Amino acid sequence: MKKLYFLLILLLLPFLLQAQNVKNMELDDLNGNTFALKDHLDADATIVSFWATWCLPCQKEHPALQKLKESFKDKNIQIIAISTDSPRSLAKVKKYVRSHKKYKFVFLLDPDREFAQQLLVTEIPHTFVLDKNGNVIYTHTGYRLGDEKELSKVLKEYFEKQN
Amino acid sequence: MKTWYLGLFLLFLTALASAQVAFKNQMVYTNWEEYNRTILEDWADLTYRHNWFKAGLRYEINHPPDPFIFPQDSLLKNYELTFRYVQVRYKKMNLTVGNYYEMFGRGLTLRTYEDRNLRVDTNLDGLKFNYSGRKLKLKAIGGRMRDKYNRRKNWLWGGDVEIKALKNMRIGASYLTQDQSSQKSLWAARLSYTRDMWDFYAETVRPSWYSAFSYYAALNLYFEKVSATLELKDYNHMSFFNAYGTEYNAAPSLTREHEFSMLNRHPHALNQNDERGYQMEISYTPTDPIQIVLNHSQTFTHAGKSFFKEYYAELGHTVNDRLEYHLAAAWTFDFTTNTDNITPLVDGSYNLTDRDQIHLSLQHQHTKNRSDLSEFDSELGLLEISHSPFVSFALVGEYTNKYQLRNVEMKRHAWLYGMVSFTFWHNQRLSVLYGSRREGFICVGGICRYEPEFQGVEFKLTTQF
Repeated sequence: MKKLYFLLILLLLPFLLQAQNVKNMELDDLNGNTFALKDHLDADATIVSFWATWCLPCQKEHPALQKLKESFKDKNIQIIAISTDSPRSLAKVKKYVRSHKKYKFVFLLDPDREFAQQLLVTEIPHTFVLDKNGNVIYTHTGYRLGDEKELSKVLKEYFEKQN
Repeated sequence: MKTWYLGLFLLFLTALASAQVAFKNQMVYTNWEEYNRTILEDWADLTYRHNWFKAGLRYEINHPPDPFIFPQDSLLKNYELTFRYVQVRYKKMNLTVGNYYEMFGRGLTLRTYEDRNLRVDTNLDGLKFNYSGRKLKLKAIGGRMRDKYNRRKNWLWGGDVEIKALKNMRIGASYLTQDQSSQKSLWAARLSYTRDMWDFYAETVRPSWYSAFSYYAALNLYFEKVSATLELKDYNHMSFFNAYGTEYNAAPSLTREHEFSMLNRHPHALNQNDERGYQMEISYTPTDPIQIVLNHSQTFTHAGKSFFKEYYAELGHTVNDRLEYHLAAAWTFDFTTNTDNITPLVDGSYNLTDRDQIHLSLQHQHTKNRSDLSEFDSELGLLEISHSPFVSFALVGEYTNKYQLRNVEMKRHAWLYGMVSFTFWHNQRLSVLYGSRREGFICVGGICRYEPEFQGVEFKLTTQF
């Protein structure tokens, strides 16, 4: 019975805890240079999306994110796409990026999924929206057509609060 | 157990006081009608950050352990704290004490990771130091690796250094040693060079227990509408494992990770002791909405025996704002099952509104056994209807005529399950699956696991913040 109580506590925890900040994120880009988020928080908002080359929903999410970025013409939305491709597909990440030059994203690598694990990302695509200070204001797992509308709604609400 | 409750409670109180907490709980409840068996699995992850300090833990429930995954079920505790760590950060340095994941280079010497879908978790328990500068990256580790029963044996020690030698060139080296005499140590050296139109990566490994070098190399080429990748491998007695047989390293297998189910039915199981081969892939984008992918890979033993061969072609076409489809075909030879497989498929989605979508996938596979020359076919159909952001329904059916072969006994030759997934209140998700699922291999990152046939009901609940 104790174990059931424990499980119940675990299930209730998410509704009680507070938000996290990821501004200390540091990952390598496709050329092996370190990208530190705290040095790139000059955007109005940041979208962080975990993806992989073998993940079809992730590839469907990318054009939706690009459209979303373009729809906020007066705002600078930074999109960071973090590949969780293992070494098996790592060589194909840069090929994918170069084949999709239309995506104005920052592409980073997390091949041992250490950063994904720290953010408790176990399934992809997994998307976070960060405010100007790197605080997570929205998180979403998976991609279905229309999910970008929720992102858009969150961003609009955030920008309205800022004004 | 009391200490663990107290620890969680204290962490919870601290979290309420200062923020930056992440929590995720994944619960899977399975009722297996065929065996009259119920299984509860749960993974509760909690991380806490405060400026330079970070801590995390994972509590797992396997009640009882799934006998197909854990045949020696008495070795696995039903309730267990399987992952905990603290990490402190000072400028560009990190020190981790407890459980952690790490990879050196492309994983030829060390790659520890978790893949929950495959029930693979090879984290190390010990300490890790990490320095990440602009021109120098340093890693030092010490720890014991987990096997699937959460047992640990043999201390592993090692280090990795990477230097930005020139503007476009990086060189690196790794060394690992463990307290086991049969497989003592191995070292590796690597080089990466990046230019605008191409880049190159190479890594070589030399173990202490066998007098041979292994290597992996990748060359990428980029043009206006075409990009290409060529990879080469030669793995010779480089599998590095502890007394429980858990491998520390996981080199690139040089076989394609496919997006579609049927193409993963005859995967290649990586053998790091005796493999050489190559993989090449070309992507061609003639116009913006069209993309063509061609892939070919081959793997041999050092004696020249063919182990795996694949030819793959895919066309992706976004017709308009509503319709998108993929046509793909593969011919695969897999030595493990000694079969040739021809797999054509079509996968498309149609947008009914800007939130509603129909997804249809039809996949066929013709299999020929090279041993007895028998042949059979398998068909898979998937229909999915989704309404963002709340709900999706999926119906997956499969049929095979393999049961008609002589000497083949199959109780079932058709499978059908339905699944409904709900997303509610800040990314909380519930999915319910009912029906029967076909046996088969699931393969990710060169590691494969047999999925037994299943008939029953399965609930999955994921809560997170």
